[in-house]
Amino acid sequence: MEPSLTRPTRWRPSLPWSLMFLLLCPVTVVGAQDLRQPTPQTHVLADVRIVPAPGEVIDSGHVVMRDGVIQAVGSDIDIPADARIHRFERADGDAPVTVYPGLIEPHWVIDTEPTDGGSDEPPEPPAGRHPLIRPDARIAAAHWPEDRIDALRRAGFTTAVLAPSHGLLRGSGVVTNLGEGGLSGNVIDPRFGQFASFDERMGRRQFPSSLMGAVALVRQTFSDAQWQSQARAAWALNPAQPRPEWFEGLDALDSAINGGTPLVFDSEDVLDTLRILEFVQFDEARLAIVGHGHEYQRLSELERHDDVVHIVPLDFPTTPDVEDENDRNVSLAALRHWHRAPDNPHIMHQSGLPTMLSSHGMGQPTDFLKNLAKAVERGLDPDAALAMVTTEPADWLALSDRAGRIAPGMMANLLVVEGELITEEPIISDVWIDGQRFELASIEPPSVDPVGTWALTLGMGAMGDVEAQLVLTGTPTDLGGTLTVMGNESPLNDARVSDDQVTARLDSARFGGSGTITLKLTISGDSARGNGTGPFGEFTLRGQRRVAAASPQMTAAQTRSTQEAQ
Amino acid sequence: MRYLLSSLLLSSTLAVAQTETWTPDIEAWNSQKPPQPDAVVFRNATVWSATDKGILDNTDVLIRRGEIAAVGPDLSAPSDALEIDGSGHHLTPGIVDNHSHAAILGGVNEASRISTADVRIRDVIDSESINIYRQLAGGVTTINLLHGSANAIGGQMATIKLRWGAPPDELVFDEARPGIKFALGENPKQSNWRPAEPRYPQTRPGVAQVIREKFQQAADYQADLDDAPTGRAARTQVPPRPNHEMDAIARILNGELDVHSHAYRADEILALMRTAESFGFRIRTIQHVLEGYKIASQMAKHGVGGSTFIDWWNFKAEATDAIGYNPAIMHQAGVLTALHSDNPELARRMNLDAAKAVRYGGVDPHEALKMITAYSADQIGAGHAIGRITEGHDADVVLWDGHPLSAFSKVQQTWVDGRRYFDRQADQRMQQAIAEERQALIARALDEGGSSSDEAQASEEATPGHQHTFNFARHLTGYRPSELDHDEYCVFHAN
Repeated sequence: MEPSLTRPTRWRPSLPWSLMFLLLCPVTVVGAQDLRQPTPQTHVLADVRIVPAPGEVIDSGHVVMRDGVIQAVGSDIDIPADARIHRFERADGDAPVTVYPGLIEPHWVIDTEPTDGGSDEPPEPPAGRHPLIRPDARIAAAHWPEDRIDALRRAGFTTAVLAPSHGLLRGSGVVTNLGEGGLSGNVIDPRFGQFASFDERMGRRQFPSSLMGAVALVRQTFSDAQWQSQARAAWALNPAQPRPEWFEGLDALDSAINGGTPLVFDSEDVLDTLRILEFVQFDEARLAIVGHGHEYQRLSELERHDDVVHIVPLDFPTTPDVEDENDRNVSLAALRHWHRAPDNPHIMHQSGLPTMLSSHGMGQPTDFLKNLAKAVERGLDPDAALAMVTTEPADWLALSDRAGRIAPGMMANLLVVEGELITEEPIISDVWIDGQRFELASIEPPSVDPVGTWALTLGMGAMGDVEAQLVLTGTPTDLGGTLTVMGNESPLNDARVSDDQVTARLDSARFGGSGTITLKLTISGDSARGNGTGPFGEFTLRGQRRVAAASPQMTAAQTRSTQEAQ
Repeated sequence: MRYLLSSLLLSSTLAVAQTETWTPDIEAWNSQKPPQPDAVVFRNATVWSATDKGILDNTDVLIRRGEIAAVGPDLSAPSDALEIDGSGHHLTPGIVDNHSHAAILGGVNEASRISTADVRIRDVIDSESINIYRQLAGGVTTINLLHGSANAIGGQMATIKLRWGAPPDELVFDEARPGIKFALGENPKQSNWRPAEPRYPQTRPGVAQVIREKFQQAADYQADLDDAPTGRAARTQVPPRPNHEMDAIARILNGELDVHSHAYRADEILALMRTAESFGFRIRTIQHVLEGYKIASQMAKHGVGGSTFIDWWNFKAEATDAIGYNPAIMHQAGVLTALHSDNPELARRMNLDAAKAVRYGGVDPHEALKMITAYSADQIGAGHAIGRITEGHDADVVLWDGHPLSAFSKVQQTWVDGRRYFDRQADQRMQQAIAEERQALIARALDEGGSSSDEAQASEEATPGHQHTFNFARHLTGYRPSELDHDEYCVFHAN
């Protein structure tokens, strides 16, 4: 990240955080020319195989990233002098390391259920409005699904549409990258789409209690929205008449009706899809249907609406339990769908209907690429498969000039893969998002117990050293704790041990920045060494354990050495 | 091997429908539309015309492109006509069940408000319900899907033909008049629900009052719409806000939407007819109408039809005065009388309910058959197109292997629009084909280690809602989880 000389108002000047801010970001005060950032923001993936876009391959070349943006890609380009060069060692006979564009998840639902403070009851909607009608709702920073982002990255996604979960008309979503730093650090389009569904009911015999009631409510709401804009326009032209009643929030539907933003309808099954196709009859609307994997069953009906975009999930059914001859409680319909489901992406592609693939409905996206490989095995063209998760969603999101391919000017969202991406067990070694590297090393069982109080020194390069205290509590498999710098204490959001390495993450808000601070420490007895990253740049870490907490898993030797240290 | 199997299954899906080998499928989406021969002729059948011509022995029926072209002895037919030997068989019109909930998804009742005139069954037609195929096997060709009876003014109905395999919009039968469900008595006043929060009204007079008030509101609403400027002037004038509930009720007053009202007791039926008369229109039918025999002459005078059960009795307090002679008495008094199922299982043997009308009250057998064909079609305003075997009518006919009012007779073929949607031999072929396909798929699942993981079970049927309904509706077979995944009214629709 560039020193933010031009935007000093991003930082809150109030004490005591400003003290930390001065220490960590002296460049804003001292002047950028005088100091070098400790880490280059220019990276090169050198001598790699590159798939810059579906259907294109560069057998050996470089990808140059600068400040989160791809600067150059190809086999015949110069490596900038200030770049940090990443090379990947491969043994003879190993598949080459291949760099792919980061994948785009077009529909990732996050929990936006409204709650009224501590109570379980949802808050009262505005007068005259139904609680399931929330077209003006938006995704807020507090909705950021921090604990689910890592799983998406591991599945190869670098960009996603976060969709709201609650209501019949659910409001808008966001288009966002999946790096660190929460919503504010990642958002690309803060207001995208209008999300809708017929699959929500009111409890206790309140309207709507049925599917047909839900449809009627949504129909009346769209009608009200259209009436409202017409009525307001008439009143603006001729104020000498009673002012029309105002329905709060319904104006948010206008852009979905007139095609300013997509209308994204969540469909439960084939009949729901047909219902939605029949329901949405606005001339200008850009309808997208989030499907269910059964699209092949009534395909000819879908083909009558060839301008509708389909977001098709890859949650193929598991093999039915048929082992016990006397207890085969599985219908022919279920058997058939189990058998046919992996054909669905290929069938959709053959139909020519605009189709994107999604991990929606999979709970965890872990098997996404495995299922994509299965679809390819069933005949889906591999280039089309890659397009359905890169260039197609980029087009739909109007991000063709920024995402979905590896080309100069695109966001530096990349996957480094050992071999091919679309295989049963792809090995994604790194994910790069906005030019920031996420190493997806697998987690090893803990070989050390880091619980205790650590005195750490943060080496900020030319800016000098900062003293900090890291308190780790719990057990090696269930770590928690705090980081204290200059008297400001912040809880750790996440802390884990893999072999002898401790990784801890925390929100940097307490220290004046916006984003996540990551600490990585290698433990050896009571010594620790490592490095960290944060919104201010990278830094080194070194320190000693001062106090060991009583832990049942601690060895006697460790306890003794800790006591000696005291 | 894998691909061989997969292409095998695919080819069964895409098989070109042939007249002789056409086979339906157990899943609607996978069932091909049966072919429509240019000409079909049934020879020497006993034809129950459901017209003034009565029952015609040794008669031919010629069908051309989905319509009945001629009825009579020794008809000449085109040389390429499909000839069907009807000797020893009876041919009747397809059965019309004008009170059904058999193919509705996501709840039969919008049970929340006292008036839900804005909801439409049209939005939730379940084209995939196995009921459609099963009822074809019982000789039913048209069903009228009605909203439940939880509210004084319920939702708008949808009439469908049982074109098994077609998507919802192709099932809809436009020749029927649009209509809406009303309900009087115990259900709308919530006698048997004990809701946590009682809804107004809680009495029969309250229900009558609500209906009257809604009519008045809709009349006012329509007057506002009529007063609104049109054309150029409309641009600068704030228009009245469209209200879909009021729109529907105003269409009742305009005579565009027929009222089919659930009711048992004579007193409130009379009250509803008076209310309608005071607003200048007629009620189209009373549904169930178990006390119709008490007020048959008043019903005939109003012009309301009576659609009733033959022998359902005493299942609730307001059903205690039911008698088996009700259809016969209403019919004799000049009321347009029909029998309905209100139940997807009963719907498969409507011919036996017609037979009971002969037993109770001595209705002429041909007239009894008309109570499930011509008269029920007339009640939904479709009698000009279906319900009779006569020239110009849709070729919706049923071939029985014996007297249609006999418990021993079986349906051999059911035709809709001149297409053979049910055929007992084709059904046998299907049963064999799906048994083989099931074995092939099971073998493949075993091949792929279809182990007894709990996950596999879970993915099939484990959301809490499903679990609940599965216990509740354990006696039902062949229904999809999504059909049962809502309120209890899908099974017990509060008659």
